[in-house]
Amino acid sequence: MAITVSNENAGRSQWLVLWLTVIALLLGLTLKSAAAGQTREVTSGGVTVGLPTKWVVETFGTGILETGTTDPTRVLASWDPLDPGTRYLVSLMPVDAESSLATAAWARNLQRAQALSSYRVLEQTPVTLKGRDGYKVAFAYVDASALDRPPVVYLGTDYYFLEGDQVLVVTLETHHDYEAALVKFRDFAVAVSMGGAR
Amino acid sequence: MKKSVSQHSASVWQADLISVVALVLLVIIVYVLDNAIQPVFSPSSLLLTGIILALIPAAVWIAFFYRRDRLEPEPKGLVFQLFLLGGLLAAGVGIPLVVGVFDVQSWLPRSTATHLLGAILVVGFTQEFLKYAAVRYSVFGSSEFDEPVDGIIYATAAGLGYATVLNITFVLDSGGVDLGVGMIRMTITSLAHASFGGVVGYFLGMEKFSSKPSWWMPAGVALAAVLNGSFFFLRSTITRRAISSAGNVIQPWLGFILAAVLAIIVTALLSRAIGKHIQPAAVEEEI
Repeated sequence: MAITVSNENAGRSQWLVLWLTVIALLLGLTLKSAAAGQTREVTSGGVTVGLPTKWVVETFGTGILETGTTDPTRVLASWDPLDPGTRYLVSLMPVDAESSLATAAWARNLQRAQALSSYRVLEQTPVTLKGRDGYKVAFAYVDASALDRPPVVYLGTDYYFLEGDQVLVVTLETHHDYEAALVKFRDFAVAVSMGGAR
Repeated sequence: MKKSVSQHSASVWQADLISVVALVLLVIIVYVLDNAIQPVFSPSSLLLTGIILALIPAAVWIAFFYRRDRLEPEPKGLVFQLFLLGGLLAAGVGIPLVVGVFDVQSWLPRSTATHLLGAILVVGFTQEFLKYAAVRYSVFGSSEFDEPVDGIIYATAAGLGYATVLNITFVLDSGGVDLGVGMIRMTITSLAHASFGGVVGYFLGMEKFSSKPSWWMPAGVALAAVLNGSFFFLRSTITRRAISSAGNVIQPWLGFILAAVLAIIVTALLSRAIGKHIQPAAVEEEI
């Protein structure tokens, strides 16, 4: 087929495509900033976290552990009221000077395994999360405590970070869409900081 | 000449259909074999198998789109160069921009509206602009780009290159893939990017051979970006619903069906649109 029509607007068209893309990306950047801004800072037990504004927050020891007991190390629990199957938990564990993150993880795993017969550690390894050194434990357990629904399998991840004489434990637990939840959780975990009002 | 145009249109549709069916069969065979044999791989062989699987959909689709243009075939080397260019732009610009600069994974899933808008504005526009640029600033001015359908072929080749790099990145990041589910996922990516590339290519082809206003090409890139963002948002949503309703069972088939339907619809629409354009031109030449 011969070229029968020359497009006089070709040059202008190229610039328009370029500008349209730039504008779309700038709008995308604005959207990203707006999405990041939809968080609020919550401080509890000396720990400051950034949470989505609509999330429910329970602070300082009031969080009910998956075992149905109160966790004395817990400083905060939070979840999306529209998706209560996924929750973030923050705990502070005192440790000895010689103790390592792996030791703290071992103690916590033991505590959980005693409370939950179905508790299983899937993976545990030292990690560097966006430049922050820590220790990771991936775990699973079956929650059969609810009477109004069948037992569900919870998958979770603990990140352990050493903070002076304490270990900061940031936990994700979810019974659906674990991979997607983990992606968001990593950003939450790495932003948890010490130094807020106690 | 009229007969040639008619044959051309028919061959386009037949080649489309045969290739989509071939790809669907291939995915089913790999999925069934994986479930039946349940092969055990070493980490390195798993990685290698994943990379080979990442290339298969592109190879099938390149052959398919090449068949489209069999009346006046494009140089295979040129089609392959566009494939490579699409891949290079993905690796050098697209992925670093979307994942590195915009870090979409950290904020896109925060709400439905954010997910959809972000997928269109950031992911869709970046990817479709790069496919457009791959063709517009390479083969567009050459004498080998000598009919509207060539735009579809070259932009699809660029789209497939882009999809192949995305698939290889996925394999490398995951340290290998599950054969069945991995094959489905990679085929979805390839089918979708081939379709969106086809849309961009159609607008490029028409821009070169018809008198179109200056908003024509921006509209084409915008349309492809909206389709791109909406498709991946929809796929993510229906897959997640499947996971939620069935515990932790992943049902990638829903996404695969969506991608196959998208490919067939886009192909049919493009074939029809190209056919409509060629017919009057052919009549003019005959007179």
